[in-house]
Amino acid sequence: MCILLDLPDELLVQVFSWIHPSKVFKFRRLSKRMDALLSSKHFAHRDLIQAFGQPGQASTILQHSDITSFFFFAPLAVQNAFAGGYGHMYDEMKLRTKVHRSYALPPSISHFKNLVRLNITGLCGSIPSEIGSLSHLQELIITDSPSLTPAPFPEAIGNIGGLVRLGMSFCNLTGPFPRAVCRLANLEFMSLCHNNLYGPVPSAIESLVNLRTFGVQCNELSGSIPEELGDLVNLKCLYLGGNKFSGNIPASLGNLEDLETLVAYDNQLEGFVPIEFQNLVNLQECDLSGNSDLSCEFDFSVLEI
Amino acid sequence: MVKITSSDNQEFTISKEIANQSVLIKNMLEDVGESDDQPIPLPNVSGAILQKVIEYATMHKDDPPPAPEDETKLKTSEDIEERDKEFMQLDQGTMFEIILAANYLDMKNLLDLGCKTVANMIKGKSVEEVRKLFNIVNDFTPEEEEQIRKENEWCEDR
Repeated sequence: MCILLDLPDELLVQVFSWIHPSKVFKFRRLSKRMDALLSSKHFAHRDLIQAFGQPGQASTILQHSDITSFFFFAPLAVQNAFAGGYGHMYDEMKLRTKVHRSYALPPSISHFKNLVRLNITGLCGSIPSEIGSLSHLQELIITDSPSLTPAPFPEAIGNIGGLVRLGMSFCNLTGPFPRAVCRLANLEFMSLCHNNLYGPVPSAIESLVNLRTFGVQCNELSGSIPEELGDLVNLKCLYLGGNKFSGNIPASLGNLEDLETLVAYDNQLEGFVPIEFQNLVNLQECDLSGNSDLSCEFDFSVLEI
Repeated sequence: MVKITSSDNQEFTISKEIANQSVLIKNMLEDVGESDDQPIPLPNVSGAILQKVIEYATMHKDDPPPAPEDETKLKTSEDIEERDKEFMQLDQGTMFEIILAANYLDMKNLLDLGCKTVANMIKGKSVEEVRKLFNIVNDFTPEEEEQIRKENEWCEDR
């Protein structure tokens, strides 16, 4: 009697291509032959066309919530075929993993060239430099990814001139504070908290004139707090806690009239809290605790020291 | 009328409109011309299966050609006509032989019907259930299988 696996490869491909890409790949486990077939480039193309239509005239497409879990976890051949054929149709990718399994960001992410927002957690491996070719990105948030291979901040991100929000907390970043960030003049939000960045924050930070939030909490940054931060007059939140900043707090920070939060606890700051801080009428939180040689000579109600 | 013979030398006489549903036979008829009344040999298909295939072709002989907009419309394996569903109520062996025959005879609709029917038997089942249903031997070592299971964790329970 004829059985399923008597069918030639091409017909097995046709049978399984009627099963949606989000559900078909578990059948790789059926047998070695099925594993090879379902992992092939040929099957990937057929299965995607069956589910979404020919690239270019695809009518229905996965919703954002599905696409991320499908795309990031699918076999490499499927990722490449999907990115190449349909990636340009997406402007947003969001993934909040329930820590099932870590996943890597594949180089084929470069095909999602119309992405405006990329917001993902739980990444492992390394961040591919191809991410720098996503020239329409305005929001790039990669957080809670402690399984990423320790590496410096991806230089290529400095090419995404339109970035408004950049968040890379808990990303295992090492190396000096990334100068590439200072090229992103449109940034309003920048957070590189909970990494292993070291060395001083360069004075080139002054070019980020639109910055509202600057977060570098819990790194190994050292040197003095750059005076130039005081030129970033749109700043509302400044998170500098848990580093090795030393020296005096620059008086220029007193220029930041919009500042609502200043957190710089657990550093090695010394001297006096600048008298100019009295100008900070919008300040609601000012945590300078854990700086043993720092004191304040005036009455400053929001201060924790 | 057109004569065809199966691998086991059974001869069938069918109308041209039925014969033309097979692109293979249609092309052969065009090659040999009208005059030839030699039966067309189909050495890859048994008489029993050919009988079923003719039954299908007869059922669909008056189908209108597909509308152009249907060509680009996405199709799912659930889109099966009721009469086709009934037609495919067969034992597995016959079903797979019909798929092979449809592929050989180049009958796209019947091939799609067969493939969809098998896909529908697979959908919603676990890997173990599908192995059992189709007598698929698990030829992985436990380590290899575990590795794939890990890679597929995201879709194992879908």
